[in-house]
Amino acid sequence: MTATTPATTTPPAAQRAALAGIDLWHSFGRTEVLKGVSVAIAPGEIVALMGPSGSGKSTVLHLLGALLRPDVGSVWLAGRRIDQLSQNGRSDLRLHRFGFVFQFGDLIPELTLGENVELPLRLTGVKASTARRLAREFLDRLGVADQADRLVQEVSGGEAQRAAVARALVTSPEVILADEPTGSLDTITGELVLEAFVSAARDLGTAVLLVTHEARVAAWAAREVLLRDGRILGGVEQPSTHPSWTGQPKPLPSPAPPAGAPWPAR
Amino acid sequence: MAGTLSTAWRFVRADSASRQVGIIAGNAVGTFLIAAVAALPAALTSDDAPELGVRLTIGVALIFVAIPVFMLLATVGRLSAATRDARLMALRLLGLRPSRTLAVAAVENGLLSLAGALAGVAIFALAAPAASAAVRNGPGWFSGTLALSPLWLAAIALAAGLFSAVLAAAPARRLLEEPKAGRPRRRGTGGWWRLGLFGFGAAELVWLGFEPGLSYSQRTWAVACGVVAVLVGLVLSVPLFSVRVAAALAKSRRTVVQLAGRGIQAEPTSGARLVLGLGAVVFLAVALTGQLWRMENSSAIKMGQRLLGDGPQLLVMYQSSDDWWPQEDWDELGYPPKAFVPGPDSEEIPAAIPDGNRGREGTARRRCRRWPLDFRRGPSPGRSPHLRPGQPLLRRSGVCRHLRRVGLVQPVHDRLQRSGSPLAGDRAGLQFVQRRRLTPKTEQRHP
Repeated sequence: MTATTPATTTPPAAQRAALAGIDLWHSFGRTEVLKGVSVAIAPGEIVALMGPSGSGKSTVLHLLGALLRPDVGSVWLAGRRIDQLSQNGRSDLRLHRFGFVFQFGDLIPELTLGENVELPLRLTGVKASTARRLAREFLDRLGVADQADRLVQEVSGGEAQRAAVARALVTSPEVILADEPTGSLDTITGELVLEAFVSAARDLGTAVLLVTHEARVAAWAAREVLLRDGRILGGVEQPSTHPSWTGQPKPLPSPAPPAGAPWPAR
Repeated sequence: MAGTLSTAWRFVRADSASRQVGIIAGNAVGTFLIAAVAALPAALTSDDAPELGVRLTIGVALIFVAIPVFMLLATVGRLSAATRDARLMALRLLGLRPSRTLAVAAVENGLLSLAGALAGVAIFALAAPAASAAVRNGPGWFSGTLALSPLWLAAIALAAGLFSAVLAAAPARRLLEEPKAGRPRRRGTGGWWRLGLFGFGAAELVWLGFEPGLSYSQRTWAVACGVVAVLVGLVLSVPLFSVRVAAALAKSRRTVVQLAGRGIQAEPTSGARLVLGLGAVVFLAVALTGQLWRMENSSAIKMGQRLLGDGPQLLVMYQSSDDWWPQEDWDELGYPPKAFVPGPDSEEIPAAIPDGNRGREGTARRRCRRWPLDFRRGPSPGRSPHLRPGQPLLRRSGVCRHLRRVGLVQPVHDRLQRSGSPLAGDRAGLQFVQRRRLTPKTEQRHP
């Protein structure tokens, strides 16, 4: 691994990007997973990160989402370096400015779908009644409002995954990081989820990073980034001709900015 | 903070009923035992400042009882820990700060623990008076009352709840480093550092075996510390053994054994908890056996056992403090002790009555008839009919049973008080009584 000096001034690519990872290297033990990956996502852009299993896609997502620290390289959010932040600072970022969707949702099984969606709002200090209302609206937008009072294990995987998307969107994050968000969904439900991402990107200017190995899912992105053996193979710019971009998907509800956000409101 | 508390409260309500009941019941039992242990010293000795040997005995007993109780509290706090850890991990993924995540874990466990602790002290407060009366009227172990003040009970409940909350939240620290999606992967707990305390305790006990220059109290404390270190060290070492055994099983060629090994490796703490539970039972049994052995080997218990013997025996009284019967009482009794009794605070008491005083003997006989002691001359052939210091004294009474059971002579003193003995008064002087079976050897020693 070739060590490089961490950047101290904002790189040009990071200045314009909502989220950027510059020259990321990362190892798990002796296994070198990433070897100088650079990714930048503009506000309102959907980027698909593609690659075979073990290529390092999820590691890139974890590094960009402040879940891991890179061994070498830097991560920038809206022109501000975030990989050197403290544990608390990175936690605050995840709570207030990122939204995560994982393949299996990672909802809390002991809570209802509605409570799961309310949770990030409650943790940011939003009033219970407001949180409940917003959660219902987002669940309604994703077509699972009627399941809001059911526990996670009482609903189907698709419904749970849509609730996970609602939870990621409900705080109106600047960036959504989705790791195989449609991996456990059928085609129609998967498209519903992807439509929600498109709405967030188009209506709220949210940057979306989709980690996937499905070309069908990647087709929804404006740009594809191919990853293999920890290196970027190349990027494919796609014209925004996908039906979801040219059509009129239902707009997302407008969430109130959470109280007590440590970063300035957008 | 309100969001954190409401989330913790929601998690408490979301827990399965079995987990809730388990934690509450475990804490109730643990707190009840702590309260009972805290109240025992005052119940066993009415004296404000019992002698060193008694204090040591009670102290060691309390430690032996307290350790399994703490193990119980720690174990029930980790019930269904995997489910709870998954919840905490989800919170960390959402972006909850480590300190707030710990607060959620602590509040969640603390509320259940506190509920259990309050139930425990309530049960103690309700049951203690009846138990105290029953024991006092029955075996007579207690000379005081088994009770604690409300302040003490509140402090114990609070401390037990806090202890359980802190212990339950402590393992959650590993969730705070780098949250990852999916179920939290358990880390191996096989660090060799776990053997440290065990090694220290074992080394100390070995050292004690070769160190003759310690006083009785120093040696007692050192043994107590060494034994506790060894036992706590064993408890700490359980996860290490669990991980190592699992690794060995996983290398087996038999599929079933290999699966078992992998299963333990995936959830090492569950196996460790099982072993810990068994260890706690063994520990408690060994501790109680050891404590019984210690009590049975105490001078008071030995005396009690000897009192039960048949045939001519020698009754010897000796003191362990300056507070002792005045000389005139001995004179009245006509039976001054003269024997050296080995023990922690033994002392030779000089004879007060000249040899061969028939009048004194008669006085002593009369006195003792009013007691539960039967005061007679021994039938040894060739002995003087006069009562002399150190001469055999026979008994047939129930006093010995008290002595045998408790090992403290306080019940004797109480009995003397009840019987109106002139020697009873308000003194706590009668502390140890020893009776020896007369053998040719003891005859020689106490001519």
